[in-house]
Parts: sequence; C-alpha cells; structure tokens
Amino acid sequence: MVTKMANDRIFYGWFVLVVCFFIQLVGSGTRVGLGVFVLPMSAEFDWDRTTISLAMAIGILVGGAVQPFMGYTFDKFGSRQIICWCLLVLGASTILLSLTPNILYFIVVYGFVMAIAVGGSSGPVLQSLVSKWFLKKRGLALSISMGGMACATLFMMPFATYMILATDWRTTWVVLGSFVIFLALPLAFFIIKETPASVGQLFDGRKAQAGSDNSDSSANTRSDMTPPLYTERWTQSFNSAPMWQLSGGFFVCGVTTLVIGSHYVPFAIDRGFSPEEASWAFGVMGLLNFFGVLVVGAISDKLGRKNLLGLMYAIRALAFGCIVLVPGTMGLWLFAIFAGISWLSTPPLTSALTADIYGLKNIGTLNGLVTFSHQIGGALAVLGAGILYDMVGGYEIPFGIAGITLVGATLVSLMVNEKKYSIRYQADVTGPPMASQTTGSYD
Amino acid sequence: MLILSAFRHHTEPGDPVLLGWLVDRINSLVDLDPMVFVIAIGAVVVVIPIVTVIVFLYDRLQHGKI
Repeated sequence: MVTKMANDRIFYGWFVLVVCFFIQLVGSGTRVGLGVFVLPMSAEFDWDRTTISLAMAIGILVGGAVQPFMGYTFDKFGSRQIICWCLLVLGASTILLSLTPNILYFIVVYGFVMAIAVGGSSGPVLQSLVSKWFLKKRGLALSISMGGMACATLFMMPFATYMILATDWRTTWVVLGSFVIFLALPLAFFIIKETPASVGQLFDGRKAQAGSDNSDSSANTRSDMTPPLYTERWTQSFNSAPMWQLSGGFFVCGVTTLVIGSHYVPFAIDRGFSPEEASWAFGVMGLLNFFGVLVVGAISDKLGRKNLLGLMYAIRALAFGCIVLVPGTMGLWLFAIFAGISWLSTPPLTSALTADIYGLKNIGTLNGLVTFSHQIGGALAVLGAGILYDMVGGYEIPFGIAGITLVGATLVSLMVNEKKYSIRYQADVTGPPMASQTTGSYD
Repeated sequence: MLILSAFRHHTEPGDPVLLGWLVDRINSLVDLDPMVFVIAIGAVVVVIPIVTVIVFLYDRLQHGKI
C-alpha cells in the first residue's frame, strides 16, 4: 500500500496522513466522549439535561462558524501553525474541563474555547492538508483521514467510559487532554509539512521524469494542471454551480446526520425497541461507517466522485425510508445497515470534489465554508425535529422530511459536472507527471 | 498518577444507568476489568505515534536526512 519513490523512500504524504488520522482520533475523542460525561457531571453539579445540551449546541454552532476562518488561516499561514496552536489549545482546554466548578465555566471552555480549537484541528483543515499531498489517491487518503473520526467513536468513547469507572470524570478529561498535548501535538509539530514540493517529492509519491527538477520553486503557483474553475480568491467560487451544489448537498448531510445523532435514542424508545437492540444496531452502524468510508474513498479514485456522492445520499435516503416506513426491528436494522454505509462517506467525497474542482489555493476556506453549511443544516434540523415532535407527537414526520431532503441532495450531487470541471479529467493524472506535478502543486 | 490525583478531590461515581448500559454493551463483546480496558486502548493510542516516529526516523536515517 505504501507508495515509494524511485529511491525507495516512503512517500512523505503517508506520514502526514497517519498524523491526520491520529489527530482525528484523539481530537475527536475529546468531543465524542462528552455523552459519557453528561450524567456524571450533571449528577455532581445538579445540572438538568437542557443546561448541558445548551453547551453542546453552542459548541456545534461555534465549531461550525469558525470553520471558514480557520480554513482561511490555513490558506494564509499554512497548516502546521494552525494545527499545532489549535491542538495546544484543545488539549489545554480539555484538561481545564477537569477543573469545572459550574455550568458557566463549562459553557465557556467546552462551547467556545474547545469548539474554536477543534475548528482548526479537525475535518476541514486536515482534509485540506491531505488534499495537498494526494491527487490520484485523494479519495482514499481523505477517507483514511476521516476514518480517524470513526475510530474515535469506536474506541475513545468506550475508553472514556471505562476510564470514568476506573477513576473519575475529572481524571478522564485530564487523560484525554494529555493525549492531545503530549502525543498529537509533538507528532504534528515534527512531521507535518505543507506540500510534496517542500520535501522534494510529487503528488502520491510518484516518480519524477528523468532530468526534471522536483524541488520547490517559485514557478509552482500556477500551471497547466489548474482546474477550469480555479479561483484566485475564494469568493469567486460562488460564481459557479459546483460550490452551491456541494454546499447544498452537505447542508442536507448536516440535516440528516445531526437529526439522528440527537433524536435517535428517544425515537428508539418511542418505537419500543429495547436498549440492547438500539445499541447493537447503532454499534453495527458505527462499524459499517469505518469500512464504508474506506471502500467508497478508494472506489472514487477509480470511478469518479460525484456519482458515488449521489449514490451515498440516495442510500441514506433509503435508510430514512426504512426507519420511517418499515415497522419493527427490521426497519431499525435496515436503517443501521444503509446509514452505516453512507454516513461518513460523504465528507471525503465532498472535500475531494472541492479540491478537484477549485484547486488548492483556497481549499481551506472552501472546505470551511462547505462544512459551515453542514453545521447550519444540522443545527436547524435538531431544532426543527424537536419542534415537530412536540407538535405531532412522533418522529416519523421530521425523519420523513429529512429523507426527502436527501432526494434533493442526490439530485444536486449527480448534477455536478465533474468531467467538465474536475482536474482529474483535465489531464492524464495517471500518466507521466506533468510540469506542475514535478513541483507537487497545481495551485 | 500523583499529579492526576490532585484532580480527584471531587470524585463522584458515574451515573449507574448510563455507565451500566455502556459497560454491559462492551462486556457482551469482551469481559474485562475497567482498568485493563483502559490500559489496552490507552496502549494502542500511545503506540500509534511511537511506531509512526520510529518508521519516520528509520526512513530519514536510511536516506541520510538525519
């Protein structure tokens, strides 16, 4: 699997990818673990569920709102600076949660400080960095990076649970924060580099043509591999359809993932599923998330991305159809299987398409904006589902509406004109490297 | 652990319902003492960066970059 250069050096991009995977693992671990902390902390401080949910909601909104700014900073100052600073703040603020004396402190640290730090050391920024190292294998690389988030749910949440049992919630926050500061931060600081050109390599670790100069040069800012919709400024991207199509699809992604994340347990209870059935179905869904994202990413490098993206939204629509229309546990299991396959597959496909279509110069900002649309959709859906539940007394209508929005996401994804706009179809990226590839950059 | 113990003065047991539910779920797969589980996953988390650094340094040494 490891791509090697002509002189058998391991492609540096794989090291960057492992670092991104690890940052996702321990960084997301500080966030996905919150559910485990809710009740012990509520019990100690006598908080009600609404109060702690407020901190979570603020965290979601702040985290989404800072993404474009973090992306812009990434584009302006480079990845290592922003990732390292944000990891330092994330680790420190996670440790500071162990000193929580009241809800205000918790809201400030978790809802604001941590959320901002996560914005600079998570999905969009890391995916932008990975996009700078991979071209032909971009789908697979982004999927592996995203797999760190799936592993965080699979491993870090049980870890936090058992850590609380073995010690207490304060010690657990300290350990989770220490993973970030003492493991992820040094790894990022010493290994992350900006582009293949900065270490004298090419995209994907490909071999240079004999006699070509693959060292960094000032001539690597524009090239004949510039995608047709390449933008000098990020604002220009909104003049073209793909940015709206990708943002629109990802808005629906946010609607559907966060509505389930927030309302799945009450829905399962309403339907009369036992906790064991509901948790097993959710566990199977988590496992399928991990394998689904890897397989879909790898396939997208061979078959193109927009059709797969549309297919993933269609499969997720099917999942929502099953949970609403198919009665009993069969509906629950069909939902778990279909949703599991498609749940985490859409972010890497969307990021890869964004980089393929708009180039790498503003990739951080663009990924941040697309992710922001995801968070807006999620926040509106969580709120809307709660209001609708109160009005109609069930989750069938809100989940049904979410499923219908997925049909729209499927259609707009299929309408992305990938062959016209993607860099993958502008040059023979599987053939000998072009001039720009010898510099490892096409922005 | 001495440093960490400073943070333990507010120790409160976790909610028995939530934690019991999660632990039962994991125990149905692997029945382990909580601390064994913590050490096992913690070791995996620690090993990933260590192995990465070893391979990274080995690669750099092999090619005279260090």
